[in-house]
Amino acid sequence: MSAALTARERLEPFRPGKDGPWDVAAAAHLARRLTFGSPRKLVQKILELGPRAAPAALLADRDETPEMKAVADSQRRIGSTEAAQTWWAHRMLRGNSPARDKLALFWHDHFATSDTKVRDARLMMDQVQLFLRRGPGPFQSLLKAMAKDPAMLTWLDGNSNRKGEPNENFARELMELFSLGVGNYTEEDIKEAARAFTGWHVKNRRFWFNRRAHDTGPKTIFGLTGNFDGDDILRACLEKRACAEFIAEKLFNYYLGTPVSEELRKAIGELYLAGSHNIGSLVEKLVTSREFYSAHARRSILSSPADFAVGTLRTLDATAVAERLPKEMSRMGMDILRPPSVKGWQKGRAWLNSNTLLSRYRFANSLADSTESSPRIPWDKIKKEGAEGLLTLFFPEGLDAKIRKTIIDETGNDLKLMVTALVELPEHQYI
Amino acid sequence: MQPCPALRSFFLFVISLLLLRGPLKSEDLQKCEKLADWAPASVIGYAEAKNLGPRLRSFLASPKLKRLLDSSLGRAYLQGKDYSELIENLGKIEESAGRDPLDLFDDLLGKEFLLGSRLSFAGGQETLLLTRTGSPEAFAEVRKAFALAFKASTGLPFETRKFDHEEHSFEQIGDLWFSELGGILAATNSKKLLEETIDLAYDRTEKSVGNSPFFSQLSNKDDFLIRASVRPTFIPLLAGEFGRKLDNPVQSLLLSGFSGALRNCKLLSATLDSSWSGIDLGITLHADDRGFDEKYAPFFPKTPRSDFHQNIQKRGLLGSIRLSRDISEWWENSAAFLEPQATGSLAQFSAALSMFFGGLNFQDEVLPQLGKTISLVFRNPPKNEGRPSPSPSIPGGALIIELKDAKKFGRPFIVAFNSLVSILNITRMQQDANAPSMLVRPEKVGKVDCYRVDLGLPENPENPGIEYNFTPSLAVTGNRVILGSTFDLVKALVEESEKTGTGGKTVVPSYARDRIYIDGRALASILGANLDFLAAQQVVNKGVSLDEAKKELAVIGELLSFTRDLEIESFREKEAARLKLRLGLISGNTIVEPSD
Repeated sequence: MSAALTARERLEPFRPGKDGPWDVAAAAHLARRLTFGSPRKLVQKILELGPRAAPAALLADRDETPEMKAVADSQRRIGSTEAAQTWWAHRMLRGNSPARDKLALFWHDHFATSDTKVRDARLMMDQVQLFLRRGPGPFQSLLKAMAKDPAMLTWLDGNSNRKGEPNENFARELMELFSLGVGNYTEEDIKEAARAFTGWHVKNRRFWFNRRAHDTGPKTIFGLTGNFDGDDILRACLEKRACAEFIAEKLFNYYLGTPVSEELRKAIGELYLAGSHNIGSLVEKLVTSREFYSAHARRSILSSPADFAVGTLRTLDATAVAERLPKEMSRMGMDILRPPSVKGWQKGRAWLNSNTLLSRYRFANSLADSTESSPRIPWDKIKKEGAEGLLTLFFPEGLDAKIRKTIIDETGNDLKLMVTALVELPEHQYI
Repeated sequence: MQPCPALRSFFLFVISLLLLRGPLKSEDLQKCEKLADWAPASVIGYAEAKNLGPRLRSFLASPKLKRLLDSSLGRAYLQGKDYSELIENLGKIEESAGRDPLDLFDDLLGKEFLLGSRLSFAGGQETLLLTRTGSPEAFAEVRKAFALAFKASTGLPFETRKFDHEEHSFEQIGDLWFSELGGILAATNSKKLLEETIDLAYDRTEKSVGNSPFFSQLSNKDDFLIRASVRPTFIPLLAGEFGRKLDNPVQSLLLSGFSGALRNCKLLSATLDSSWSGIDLGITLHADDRGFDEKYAPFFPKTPRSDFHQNIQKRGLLGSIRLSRDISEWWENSAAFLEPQATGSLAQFSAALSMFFGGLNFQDEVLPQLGKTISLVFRNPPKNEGRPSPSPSIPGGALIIELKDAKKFGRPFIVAFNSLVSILNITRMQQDANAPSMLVRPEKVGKVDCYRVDLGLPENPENPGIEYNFTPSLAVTGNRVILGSTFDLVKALVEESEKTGTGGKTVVPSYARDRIYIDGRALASILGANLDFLAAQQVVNKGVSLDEAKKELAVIGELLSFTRDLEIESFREKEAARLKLRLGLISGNTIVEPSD
């Protein structure tokens, strides 16, 4: 389909029937990409809502459940990195807005702040809360909030950015990683922008504008000279066309994962600008597009450890010890709240190596365990639906006949063994 | 439905006891004062019970049982499978025996019984049951009931083979030999054992448990519901563990004393007693003729009595652990208690600690200055007036180390405390240059200098977290060094220490008692204060829902509402080592309000 269509046409809304069937496989595809996994109930709900209404419904702001509130409060009070990781893992697994958590995970990777340096898990929790709250809103608002976020300022040495001795860390990452991308700014722009952010400090775990440390002199950014401060720099970045394409392409890769041509990059950028920088609106347009439901977009993204672990558990409707989940994901290469560098995690094929693949297999094996700490899976429900039900649950789009036969023959009627086998399948490593 | 085999065997056994009333030469039969006088001395252990029947009736008739059954735990039990099976089985007994099962129990085992065991020459086990039945009329009633029950449950007539021993008749059915001895029923799986019992009943021999030198150390005054006594050297697996060297120094410090005491132990006895005010379990290890092995003296030191611990208990502690050891002597002789690699780790530990004590050698210069008692006490945090309390609310803890002379030797502990804070500051600074420093601030409590660590936390936060529970503090007072997690607790302990002084009412040393104490109400109070936090922790640690977690915690809270306290003591008493456990229960219908 994509070869014959223009970029704009590929981004047009998916038309059930004409562009393909609106069925369980399509609904499960949307569930896997927009949330974690494809639990039967969610897939059914998506199917009923239809491709247009479902994304908005999933991204809608919802009040936290009493359980989510209680866990957030208790973990915040403990205040350790592990407690904060457990809180987020519990949200992803048992929260009522997994689409927001999935988008928050995108922003966590994008702004890539690590508690190894921040050393204040409560600030890290605040940052994730910011992603959850403002993640689907206008990017300007999120970027401005991030520039004043205490965890971010600690991570990129805000307090050492002083008049006369500017620290370029934040200004550099703002342009290179947060808004424009390489090639859309000069070294001089970074130096001047760093001056504009002098005095943006943290005091008592809050943003503090330290006037004495702020450089009030004139600066020249992107060819314009003025008495700019940090807000002016952010505005200047956001107004650049490169910002729209940079952010939109990143989101496209996250949710669709198909190759992006120059033409498509421009088209996505226009889509972003048409939505007035609103991220939720762009995501909705992307995941309702014909491109999203195209055959080559399905099962084309190698799952991140969060997609793999949380997604598998959610698909199985399992309750698990949330405390163990971050450790499992860490073994698979994703230590949440501790990204490896300012660039976030290396994605795609980099998720898999001999170590992380074994960790995925070990996780798959733990599903059939019955120790106190292993996930509790509703086996009775699974038994009722039998092997066919299980195969459809994991692969509603169908599975290669040979693989399917091998799995059924090798596992017999042992559904626990079948779950392990299905989760270990190469096909299941993709979402 | 077929009666279960166990039930059938029970009937067979009991009926066989009761149906037999052979002709007795009652003119020679002695009066049985104690069942132990009729149990042959060759048994290696026996259990005895008194007044089970009246206690069971009192328990069942008590209105207090209603409160227990009205609780959610009780309701769950009443609706459970175990309870319905119990009722079903009792119904079967009543139906087949034609008598109330309680009456049967009362007449058969409810007054007094003894169950003894010995090893046979062939390596098997011979068991003897002696039970004191009621009056002849009651006995006849029971017999009749069981005759019916036997027929109903087996469908077979009750036919036994008859034998005589010195003109006293006894009978056999299957592997069971039994006889009635004037109101006492004797039943055993060994003909020889029964004959020895008959000889004791006719006073033809004095070789009874009651006269045995092995069992003579048992007190006749002990109040108990059930008492079990055993000669531990006859338990092969257990005997191999006695006095074994350990590979963990902490484990050795805690357990080597008891383990060593068992090595020379000729008799181990355990008693269980219960009432509405509590449940008591006692274990006593009686040393043999060689007496206590003095090698284990460091585990049972003599200390002068002090009122300090009793007084701090009155200040509303959540719990306390008191350990009395001559650590210096234990360390000196550690090779006798520890595996070689563990003694090596002790040496490394000593070297590391020397660093904190300003260069003093820990083993040779610090340890000899220590007293013989180390305590750990816990107290719930006080309520914060007018400002939010930290959540979770963590009880304060304090380590109390007694010194021989704190005036001379308190200083190194202050140096060690300051060194520790400095090292922590340096470590934190290395990780984060902006991390606030912890400052040690001196503070007076009466005339005593205390040292309180300011963690550098922001003041008056809206939602104080876990870290606001801690104000690590140190004080040297009297002959005690007090290291606590909160200044409040250290202050209270200093005040009490100053009030009590170093000595007590008497300075005559006696064997010290190790003690663990937990106050049920304080525990319920801290549980109540942290209910939401603990429920959320259950959610993430166990994968249960918030509702399930809250229900589980409510059950624990309900259990605690029945619990006054838990006390475990171990100590040396002459040539015996004793362990006592008491679970204090809250009797009556008192509704317990959470205490601080």
